[in-house]
Amino acid sequence: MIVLDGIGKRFGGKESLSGVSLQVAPGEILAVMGPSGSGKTTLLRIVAGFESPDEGSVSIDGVEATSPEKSLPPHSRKISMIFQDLALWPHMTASEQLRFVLKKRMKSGQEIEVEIAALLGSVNLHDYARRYPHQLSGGERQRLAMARALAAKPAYLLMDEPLSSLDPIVKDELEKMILDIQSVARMGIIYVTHNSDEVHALADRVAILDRGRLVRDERKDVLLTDPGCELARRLLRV
Amino acid sequence: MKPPRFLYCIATALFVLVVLTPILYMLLSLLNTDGVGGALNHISLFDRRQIGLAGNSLGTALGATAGCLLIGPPLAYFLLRTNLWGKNVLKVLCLVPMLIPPYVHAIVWNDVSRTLGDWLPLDVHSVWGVIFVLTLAYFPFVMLMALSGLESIDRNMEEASLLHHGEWATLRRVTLPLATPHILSGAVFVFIFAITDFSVPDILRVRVYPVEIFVQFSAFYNEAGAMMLSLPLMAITFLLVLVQRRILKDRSYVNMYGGRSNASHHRLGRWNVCVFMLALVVVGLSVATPIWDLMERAGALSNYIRVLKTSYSQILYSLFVSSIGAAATLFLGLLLAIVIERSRSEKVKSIFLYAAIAPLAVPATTLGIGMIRVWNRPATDFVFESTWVTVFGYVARFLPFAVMAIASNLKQISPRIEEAAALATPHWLRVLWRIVLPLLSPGLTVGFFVVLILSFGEIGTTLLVIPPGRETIPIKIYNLMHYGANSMVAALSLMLIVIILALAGLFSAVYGRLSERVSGR
Repeated sequence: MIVLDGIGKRFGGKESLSGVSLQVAPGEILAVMGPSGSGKTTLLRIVAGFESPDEGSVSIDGVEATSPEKSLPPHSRKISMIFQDLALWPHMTASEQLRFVLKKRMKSGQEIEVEIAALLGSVNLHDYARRYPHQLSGGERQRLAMARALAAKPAYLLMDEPLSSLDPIVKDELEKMILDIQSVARMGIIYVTHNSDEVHALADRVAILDRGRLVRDERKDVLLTDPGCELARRLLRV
Repeated sequence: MKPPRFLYCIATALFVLVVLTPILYMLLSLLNTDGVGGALNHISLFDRRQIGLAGNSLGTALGATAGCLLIGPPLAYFLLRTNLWGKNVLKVLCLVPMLIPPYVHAIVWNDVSRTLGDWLPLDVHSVWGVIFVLTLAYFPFVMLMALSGLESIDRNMEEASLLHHGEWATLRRVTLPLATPHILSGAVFVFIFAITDFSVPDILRVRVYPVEIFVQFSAFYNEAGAMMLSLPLMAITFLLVLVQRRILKDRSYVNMYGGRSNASHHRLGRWNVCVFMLALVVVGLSVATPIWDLMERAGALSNYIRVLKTSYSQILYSLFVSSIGAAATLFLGLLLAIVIERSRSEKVKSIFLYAAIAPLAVPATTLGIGMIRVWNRPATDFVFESTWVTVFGYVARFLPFAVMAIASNLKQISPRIEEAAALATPHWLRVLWRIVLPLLSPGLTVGFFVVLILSFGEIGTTLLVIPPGRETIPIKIYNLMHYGANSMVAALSLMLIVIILALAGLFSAVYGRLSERVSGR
């Protein structure tokens, strides 16, 4: 379980997060919503280990990962992330991207090649192994980013508005893919989004941030029947 | 927004007049009656002497490039991506050697070798000595390009790797490959600077092409021979200019709005001491040694006052002619950059781009000879006997830098911004004046100061074309050096460095303000 306890973060004197406490269980999808600048991405970056909080701590499966005094490096946290701009490495083909990640947990070259084929197959990219990111369409790039994130067999997956730039048809396909993968891998997912449709389709629980503070943290069905505040009502379009 | 036709005409006319004519004149002079055959009577490119010359030229250029690659990119990485002690101060100090003209580095190490004798584990009057001095003078170019490359890498690319691997694997597999085009481009620059440099090998008495070209022209009056010697040099450097364009493709030379310099994810731990010491050694050799040696030689304060009294007119003239040169270069650079970045025809873009960067391939001495041939005639004496010929020399030599700086900035301004303005006014000049120029102000500032600083220290072309009765500071230093006036050379060199540093400080302040305003940060 990921446990965030009283997380606070300031950038140049401006408060980005304050006293945020959240939990994400294995197999659960937590959607984090909020207006622009409410601290959603900062929260993800603190969980990933790219930023250190000024206050509070993060523990992952009982191990203290981040506190103001110490910080576990990102690659030791059993976490993967899909970035908003995907951050695919432009100088590597699809298979090279996966090979680079797989080398962390696999030694044998043959084993790695088998796993690459399986991962590309799982996201319907079997014929695209030798393509570079710029040779893929938007949806294909998204799927490659997903495969790259899954290659590390993470316990938790962080997703930062991963579907924001896609058309509705590709978006539907990818939402389905996320749910399929989730049902098999049983990862905990923190899913940052602005989009209420994605929340309806994917989330188990919803957390709402406003100016760095957590204003709601409820199961989705509870929040949909009783948003509890105007911001939640507008974000969820209830 | 498509540039109007008159812009192409003005840009082409000025470019042909100031830059292209002297170069073409020299090339065409080979086809004259006495041309190639005559030149070959004096010089054979394949005799032993010439092969030795080619070996020295290529050796010094390759060696200096290798040296700069060894120092520049690692320094850039440590300064930008790690928690290296004192990295902000070190970053500034590591850029200073670039502001000290190469011949001042050469004067200093020439003197250090005299003082230390056999204690110095290197003969500075050799190819290795030239490599050493050129490396110290030029490594900041590669460092600067590497910094620009590192700053242009999307932060998420490296973080996506850090989720699965440590810092060194991320550096090797993600950071370095993504920064490679900028680093290689910086290396090509250094190679071109080194192979066309006249001053350092001349002071350290090593025979290379630019020195030989100067000797053939000024000592033997063998113009065709000098031109013959320029040919291999121009062929190599122009080829490299093409290679560099291919490497960099559509990337910008510089990141105009600053990158994410605070993104230091790599903790050095116990390696911090070693890296800090190595950085100090580099700063010691390239900054502290020149300053200390020049101060030591310049002696008492009275010497500075004496030099100031006898050289203030040269200082003022240098500032004046460099400023005019920088402004003129900026004007032509702006026209060419607009054509290169905003023309809709790929062919036109390529022609103007390669024409604009071609002067990089021409050694300063060759350009000087070409300018004498073009302007030293009765009808154009009014140019040749005035400051304009020096100004034209600066434009011809440093135009590529102005074009690169302005084009890099223009590349980062969306054409949609101009299109939005075009909906409000049909006048292209109004869009240029009210929209494009304010947004281009950081690039224009970079272009102006780079050309100003380079012109202020220029010697290769100025030495040949400066009108009688006029003297710039570099020319005065050069003349004093040959009279053996050591303390005056040192004091004047120090003054030259101080003025260049002051100009760099002024640039930094102006640029910081403008880029902050333009980027809205």
